[in-house]
Amino acid sequence: MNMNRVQISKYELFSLIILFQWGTTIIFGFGANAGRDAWIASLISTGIGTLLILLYVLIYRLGGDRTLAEWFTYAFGKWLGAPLSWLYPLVFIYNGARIISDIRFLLPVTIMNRTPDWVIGITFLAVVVYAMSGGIEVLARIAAFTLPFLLLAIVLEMILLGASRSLHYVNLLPIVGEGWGRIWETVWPLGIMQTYGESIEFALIWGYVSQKKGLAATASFATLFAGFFIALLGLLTIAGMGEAVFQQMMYPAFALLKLSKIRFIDNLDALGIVYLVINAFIKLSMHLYAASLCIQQLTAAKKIRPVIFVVAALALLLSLTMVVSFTEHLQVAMVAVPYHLWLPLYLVLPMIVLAVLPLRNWIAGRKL
Amino acid sequence: MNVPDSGKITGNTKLTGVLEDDVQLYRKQLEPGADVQYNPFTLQSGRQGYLILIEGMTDELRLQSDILEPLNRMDPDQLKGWNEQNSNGKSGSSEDLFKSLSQSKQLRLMNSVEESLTGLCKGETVVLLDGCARPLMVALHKWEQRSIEEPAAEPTIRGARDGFTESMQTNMTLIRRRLATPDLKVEALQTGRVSKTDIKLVYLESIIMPGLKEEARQRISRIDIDAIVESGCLEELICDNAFSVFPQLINTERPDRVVTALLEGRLAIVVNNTPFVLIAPSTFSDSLHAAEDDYQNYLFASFARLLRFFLSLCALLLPSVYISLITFHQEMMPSDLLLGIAASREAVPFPALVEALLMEVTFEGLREAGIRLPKPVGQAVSIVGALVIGQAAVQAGIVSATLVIIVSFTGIASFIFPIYSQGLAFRLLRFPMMFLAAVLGLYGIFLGLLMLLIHLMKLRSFGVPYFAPIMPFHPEGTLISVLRLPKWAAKNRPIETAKSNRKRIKDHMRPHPPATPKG
Amino acid sequence: MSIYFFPWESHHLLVSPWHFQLVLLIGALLGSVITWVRKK
Repeated sequence: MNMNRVQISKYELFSLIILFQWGTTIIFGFGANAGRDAWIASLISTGIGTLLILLYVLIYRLGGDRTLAEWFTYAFGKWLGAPLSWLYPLVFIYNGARIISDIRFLLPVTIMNRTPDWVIGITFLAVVVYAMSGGIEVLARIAAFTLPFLLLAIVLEMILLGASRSLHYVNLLPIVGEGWGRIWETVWPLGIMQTYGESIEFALIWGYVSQKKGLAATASFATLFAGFFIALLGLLTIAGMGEAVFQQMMYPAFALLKLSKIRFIDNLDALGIVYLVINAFIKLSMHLYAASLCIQQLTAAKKIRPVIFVVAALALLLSLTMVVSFTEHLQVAMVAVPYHLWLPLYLVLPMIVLAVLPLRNWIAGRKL
Repeated sequence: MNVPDSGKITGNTKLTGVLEDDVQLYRKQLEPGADVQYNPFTLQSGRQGYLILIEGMTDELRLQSDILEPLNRMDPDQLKGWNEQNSNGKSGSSEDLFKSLSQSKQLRLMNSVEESLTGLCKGETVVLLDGCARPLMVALHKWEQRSIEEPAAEPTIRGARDGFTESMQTNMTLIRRRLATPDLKVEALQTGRVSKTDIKLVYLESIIMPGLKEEARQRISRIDIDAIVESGCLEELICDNAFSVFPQLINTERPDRVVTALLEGRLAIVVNNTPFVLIAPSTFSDSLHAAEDDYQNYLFASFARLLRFFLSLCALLLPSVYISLITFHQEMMPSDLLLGIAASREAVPFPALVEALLMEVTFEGLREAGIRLPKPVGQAVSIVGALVIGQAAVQAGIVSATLVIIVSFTGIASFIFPIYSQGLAFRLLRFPMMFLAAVLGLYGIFLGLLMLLIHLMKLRSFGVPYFAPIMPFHPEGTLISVLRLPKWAAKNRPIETAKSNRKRIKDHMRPHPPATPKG
Repeated sequence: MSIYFFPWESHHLLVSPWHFQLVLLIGALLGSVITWVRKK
């Protein structure tokens, strides 16, 4: 009756993770660098990504159920831990700004609005802010509610594709024709860091899940599930359009939708917009909410609402000033950011924390 | 800051014991009281007295038999004892004797004039006897009230045809007759400084959701207002989200609906002077469930629920989708349809939004007007009005034919809500959606739907999430709320309201023909 | 040639990514000042 404690169920976490990881990957397509072996790269990334997420769960548990904001201050003490902790919300805001830019570029092109892109950005952000002020419960519920519909849409799309006879599996051959090098380049660091490294944000909300057990199982199953679908869609896209087109296309998913044509059901653009809006919404909300939660915990603020507004405004500002051309935007996403930004934060630092934790626990145990 | 008490009765005027002076005290307080009667009477023993009552609210026949006869039969000494007891301030045997003589339902001895005034205004009779320093109050209510009729706002094909009336007593009886169990508990509350409206909380003790009755009691007790005229006023003051357009309590005129809700662990709030009973808590699926669903064939009832859900989406989205497709996304429609619509819109000078707004506002205006017109005329206006105006508008070239179809279908769809308040919410929401569609097209519609979804996910009714049991997800609950399961299959009560007491029917209740066929 | 002002602009990230990392570090330090002060 009076549920003062915010709680989300395992299924809600499951759908949140899936929609987050589908994010914009499902629109932009994964691993175009690997050409027609992109689906293999995707599968491998999923596998390694699952391990990465399990790493985050491990740190959470070993650290005594401490959230991301508390990891570093616990492991390294106040003076070193605070700056390290602050790095994360800033990066989350930057990631959020990148998603806003994605939206601002994508929507005018696809649904052919003559609306200025900042209007699209502001209206989208307004809805995100509204959702965030309801807390993680609202986000999780929306994810859980829309997941079945999106799943249905994807399955329907695949069936339509299969029935439309535009798939040429010969496009996939020869498998691994150019060797594993291409695949490996895609997987590391971009493939893992982009979707699965970003899932470090979930380390903030694992405390909210109502059932304590089975957290790792839920998280890994969700990751595998999401990755499987990304790989499958990639496979179908290549089979439908061939390697060269896949690598050149900005939005393979939309092209895929246009391929599935049966009599009068010929314009499924609306479906693509639904995917994009919902997935991007969840991803952006998670980024900004994670940043707000972090900042709230780091500044010991009593109410989260002012933090949310500040975070959203910052993200908008960043997004508006961030990019001049879309090609640059893509280039940044694929090369610069993963190496220089994400690798240290999502992999190196957590591993250091993991290494330090047993020592820390032992010290804390001794003091008692 | 407290509510200023209009007509608050302050003071503590004691009766003197001298009859004429006491009557003067009452006259002064009630002046000018054109409908207050002061009836003098004389007992056989010679003692005099007055009956003060408000006409129209008392059973005058029983006045004679229930008050005057027993008074006549009493010993003058006993009456004297009554007076003495009062000056000592102790209750004595005289009072009990008096009570046992009288057959009235409710007999109260008040301490001052002011205390008895509230009762007087509620229809009780004040009895003053010469020499007695305390007024006696007797409740002998009798007044005109509406007889039990079919509920006007919720008619059904199958199901009981008695609806609640304005009398609290009748309403309680209607509920009690259906649930003959001592488990049915009734709590009385009173709200409103001037109206002093009686409110009763009704629930089944062993089933009700834990914490619900305390929460309801607390919310109603905290109300400090001059009057509660209708249960709608009460609803606004105790709901969870004051700004939401969605109803967070069910209001119904049907006793069978109330009884079904009680059996699910909910709480009924009966308010005096209105036939609309409130039920807490409420979820979104309640507004798509009709009382009749439970009595008709379960297959059809499930179909009807799905139909209602689909139509509710239409009621919300159809005009907006039309506007956005016509204005921004023409390529999304099949080309034949597009050509037809373009042809019909050729003569229309307005953009799609203005066209749609014109027709929608006209339709809403017709609906409002139809409510207020007298019955014979009302029918004609709604049918003739819609068709003729629509047709004439098309021929005049103001709107396109497609739009008339869309608006009429939307109008029909908005009538399907079994709970009228929810229909109002959807009718209202389609206007912002139209504006969003006109400005941002399909993207605007998605944003609007997303905002609506966020709001609905946040909404709670007395703590129960508004979308339960679909979200948070319970498979069994979702099945029950989306489809109507047959009575022999719905073994458990809904989980969101009856966590403590779930099983309601024995297993293996499905009917089957006899084992050995006869003949 | 336009002037790229903000260190988080994509051009900067491509050409000299350590600008951005520097901004991040400065931001983190500023933030930690708040933490050190408020979480005594």
